[in-house]
Amino acid sequence: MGKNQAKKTDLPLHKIIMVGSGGVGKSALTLQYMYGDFIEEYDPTKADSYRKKVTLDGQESFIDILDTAGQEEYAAIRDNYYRSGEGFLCVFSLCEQESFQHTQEFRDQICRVLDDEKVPFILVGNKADLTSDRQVSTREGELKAKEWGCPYMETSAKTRQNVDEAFCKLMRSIRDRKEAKGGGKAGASKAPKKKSSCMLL
Amino acid sequence: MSAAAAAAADEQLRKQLIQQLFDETGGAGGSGGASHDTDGPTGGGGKLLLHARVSEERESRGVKDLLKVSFQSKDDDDDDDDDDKGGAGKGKLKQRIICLSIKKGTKLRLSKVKQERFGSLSIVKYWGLDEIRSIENCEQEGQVLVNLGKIYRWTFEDLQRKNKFLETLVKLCRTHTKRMPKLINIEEEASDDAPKQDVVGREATTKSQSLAASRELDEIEADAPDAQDGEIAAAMDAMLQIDLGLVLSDFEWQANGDAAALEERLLSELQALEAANVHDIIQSETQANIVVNEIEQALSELSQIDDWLSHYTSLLDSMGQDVHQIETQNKGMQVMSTNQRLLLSSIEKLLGSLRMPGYALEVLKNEPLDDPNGVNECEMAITKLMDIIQAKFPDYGDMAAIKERKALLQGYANAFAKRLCEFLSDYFQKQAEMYMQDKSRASQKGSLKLYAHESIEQKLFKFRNLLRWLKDIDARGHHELQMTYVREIVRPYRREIQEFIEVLKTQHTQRKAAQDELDFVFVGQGVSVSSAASNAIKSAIRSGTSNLTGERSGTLSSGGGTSGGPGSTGIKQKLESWRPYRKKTARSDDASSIATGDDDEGKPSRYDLGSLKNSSIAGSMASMDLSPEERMTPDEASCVQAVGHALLKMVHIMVREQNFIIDLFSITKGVKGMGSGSLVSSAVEEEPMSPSGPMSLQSWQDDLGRPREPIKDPKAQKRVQEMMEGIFEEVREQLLATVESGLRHDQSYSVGMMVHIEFYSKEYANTSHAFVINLLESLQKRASTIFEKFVVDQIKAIEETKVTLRKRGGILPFIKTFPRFVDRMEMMLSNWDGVARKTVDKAYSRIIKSMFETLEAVAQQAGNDPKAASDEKDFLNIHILNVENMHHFYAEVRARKVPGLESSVKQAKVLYDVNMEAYCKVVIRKPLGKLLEFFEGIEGLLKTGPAEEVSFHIQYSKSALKDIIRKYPGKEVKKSLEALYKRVDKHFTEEEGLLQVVWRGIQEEFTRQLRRYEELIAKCYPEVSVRLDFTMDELLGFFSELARDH
Repeated sequence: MGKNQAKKTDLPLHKIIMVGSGGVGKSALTLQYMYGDFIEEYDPTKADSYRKKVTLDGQESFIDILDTAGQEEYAAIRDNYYRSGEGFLCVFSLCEQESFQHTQEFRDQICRVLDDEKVPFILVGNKADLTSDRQVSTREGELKAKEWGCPYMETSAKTRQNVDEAFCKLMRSIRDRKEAKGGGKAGASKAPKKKSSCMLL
Repeated sequence: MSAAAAAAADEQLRKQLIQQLFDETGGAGGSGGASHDTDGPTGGGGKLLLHARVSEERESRGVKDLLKVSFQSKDDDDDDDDDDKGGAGKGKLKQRIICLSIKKGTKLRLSKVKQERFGSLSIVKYWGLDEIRSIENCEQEGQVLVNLGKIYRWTFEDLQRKNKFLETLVKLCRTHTKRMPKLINIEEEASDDAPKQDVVGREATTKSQSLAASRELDEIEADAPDAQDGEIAAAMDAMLQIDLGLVLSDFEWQANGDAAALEERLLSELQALEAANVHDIIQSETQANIVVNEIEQALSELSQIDDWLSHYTSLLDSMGQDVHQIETQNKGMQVMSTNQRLLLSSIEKLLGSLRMPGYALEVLKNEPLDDPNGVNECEMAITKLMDIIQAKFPDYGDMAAIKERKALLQGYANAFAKRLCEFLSDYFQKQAEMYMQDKSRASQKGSLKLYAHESIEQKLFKFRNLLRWLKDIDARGHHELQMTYVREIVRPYRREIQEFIEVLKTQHTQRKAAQDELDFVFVGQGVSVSSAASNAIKSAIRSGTSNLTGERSGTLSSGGGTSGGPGSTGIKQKLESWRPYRKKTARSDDASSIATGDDDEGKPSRYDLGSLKNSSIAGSMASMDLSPEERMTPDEASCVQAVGHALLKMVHIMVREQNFIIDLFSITKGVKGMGSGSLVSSAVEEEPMSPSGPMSLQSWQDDLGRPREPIKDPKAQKRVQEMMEGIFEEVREQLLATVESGLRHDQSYSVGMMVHIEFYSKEYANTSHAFVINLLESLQKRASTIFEKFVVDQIKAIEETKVTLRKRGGILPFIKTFPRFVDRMEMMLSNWDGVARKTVDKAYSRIIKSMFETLEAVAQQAGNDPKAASDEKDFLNIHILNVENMHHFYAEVRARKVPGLESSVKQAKVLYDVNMEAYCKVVIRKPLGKLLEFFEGIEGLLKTGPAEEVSFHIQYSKSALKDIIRKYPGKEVKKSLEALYKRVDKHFTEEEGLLQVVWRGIQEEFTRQLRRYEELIAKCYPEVSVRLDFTMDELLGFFSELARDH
């Protein structure tokens, strides 16, 4: 129906891509954010797309989340969807040092594909609830984020700790970047900047 | 002087003494003065028990003379001191001998003997032992004081003798005197000398035993101590037997005297005696006669007394009888008077309880019933009357007078009953008429008001006790009154409810305007559906088409425009004022709801009704804290609320009316046979909390709205049902029709209705309100039917999409609609978990089934579409449709988290995955084309034969392989990839954002194919060094390049 299409296209759309090694909880974070669910069982994702209307700082907008496979056979496959992303939520597991190391690869590929070091990016250490299994310290994460010039957050998809905050932060930086560019894809969004916290519908 | 000489002298003296004593015994006994020198032979019949020499002194004055007692004391010539008391001998000592003797036949004597100059002895004086008054043992040795009428002081020469004397004397006195002389100072001494006393005693007895043995015994002292005491008596007897001599001597008879003289003397004495005797006798006879006479006289007097006595006795007897009779009579009279008193009090009591004050009867006859005081008066009067009529007189119940009296009173009661019936019948009519006349009750245009009949309640409340009484006294009249009431009350109700319903209808008609809200129904553009609902929607859609692209909120006002008329309700405003049924919604858009309300209600009855409404609404809200409306947004709420509240109002009115009827007519109060007690008391005893008891009007009215316990008595239940039907039956049909027509415009309300109805059904389940329950059941049925029809219509609309769908890509309308449909249903249910929920869940699954089937059908059509098929002969459309629609369905419905839809969500996910995979596989055929076919052929061969044989087939020879590889150089592949990307981009709408997902799948499929081809080449053509024109890395490079380009 045209009406709905019109409605949707009128609102700004922020495209977020979830990246990170397999099993760190990209899908869990996404589902928690989207539906408020937490699903224990692990079912490797190939790729899933989610869309949802949110109110970001008082302005309605759509968020489009592409949940990707952590274990991609050929990294090049990612290139295309990296290209489509406006912001990246790079996830590692606080309980798995290796997944933390891998974030560098993801970061590098994204920067390479987009040829942009300043792309909205947020480093997220997930599984913060499993404190006893922790392998990556907050300090390490922070250092890495500092190195990349991006925010760092620790989340728990299980307890929803920082989940909304992470997505909102990313969306905000996407929005700010779009506004800074003064047009581009999201030219329609001329919403005044508000620093109040985000709200979910 | 030697002892022997003294003993001899003593013996001598003793002999002389014996002689003297016993010779002159008689003379001495006869007269004191005569002294006879009789030397009679010793032992002439007596015995000398003791003798002792003493010197005697007469104790007359206090002069104390020491007297020397000695045997040879100087002579005293004072011979007789006994006779000559006042003689000169006083104070002089006289030598005397004191003897104790016993003489035959006589008593013991104490004698005083004087020794003459020549040794002869003479008895001076003797005393019987009885004459001794006292004996005193003086302190001076040897002295004894003896009182023999005179007091003599005797001084013994010999102490031993004195002691012996005292002992013997005392002993004899003890045994032989009647009166024991007074002993002074003797007992101790006696006891000191006890052995001697014994000896003396023995000696004395021994001596008195026999004359012959007296001397020997006298001397033998210490021996033969025992068995002597009894012999004294024997000695005495022996002396009496030989007493004759003494008798004779008493008569001075001497043996030598004259016998004849004696005889004569004796005879004369005898005669004299006889004469005296006779004389005596004669003398005594006269006296006897006198005595006899006296006695006779006494006897006669006695008998006379006796007569008197018997006379008195008989008199007393008769008097006694009289007294008894009187007593009996008295008792009888007392009983009678008590009985009479009792009778009197009984009669008084009876009269008292039968007394009916005249003014009370007057009250019953004439007191006006239309003012509360009059009613009260009547109540009191009738209570009194009934008390009398029903009073039990267990003993005199059969009394004619009582019966008569009761009948008379009954007559009054009946008359009053009749009057009451007539009055009330008239009164009901008047009240109903008043309501009908009351313009203020007339419903305002557009306001949903439904008034309870408070004022009627108030007015009739006061009659409840009388009506209860009437029920007992005149059941038929009571019943007729009920019928009258129903007949009358139904009129205002009918009108009011009709108006109410009219308003309700109007509101729903107005609701038509909000067509934009119907975006949850499955109706596509240009669909023509036969059902009325669909028609309505269709028309609405047509009229509102221009607005459809507008903002949702915008359509509200435009919707208002469609219903036409400047006076049409501003929906927004109506929704803001949340209770549209209360106030007529605005004619002027910006009027505040309060002001509007005031405007509309500014009628005479406003105050009265306002309070009523407030209370009833407050009540309804209080009972509905779970009510669904509260969760809804105001506009949604208003729709459901309008219906729901209309229902609530109706239900409330009915419940209240039913309770009112029951209370007014005391329908549930059991009829206790022949009428039960007085008005108030019976009410209290039956149901203390009953409103008809002593309860205030206020609390009763407050209680009226509350549902009550089921009525147990089937008769009463039937009666109530009958009345309720009488009042509301017509209304019921109207209400049902209204609900139906109200829902016609938006049948989804039927879900809300079902929830409402279920809510009320639960609330009123197990209450007495059978009519309401029944009504709710009917409504439930009606709502279910409507919902069923709604669902059927939806399914029909979905299925018709097959035919009517123009654009065969993208998300199908019904898939888009479904989430909103779910929202709508869930909103209506608002977490209600009852029958309505199950009904809706069933509807979901039916609709989903229909949707999936329709989707499949549409997809097939799309696949078969000639236009599309030219290019897409591989039915890509089917997959695209499925992928996108299922993705949409999955994402949207999953987000709603409706438990009943979970399985459908999963199903959608599966369909999505399957079609996604299928799409990817199909879509790569074009760029790979023959290459793909070639290797598929090889794979086909491998299924039947070994790998080595593949190259033997002409089509799959080495050269064929080379040919085919040549046809697909890297450049070409890259180009076709680019083309493919463009195609895919076209296939999928931006809306679902699936391009990246799909492209990723395609890339994966591509790499998979490439890898497989390489494997197959290596396997089937091992010896040929043929390779594909592009490597995997190159392919990946193509992907990367492609990514950079877009």
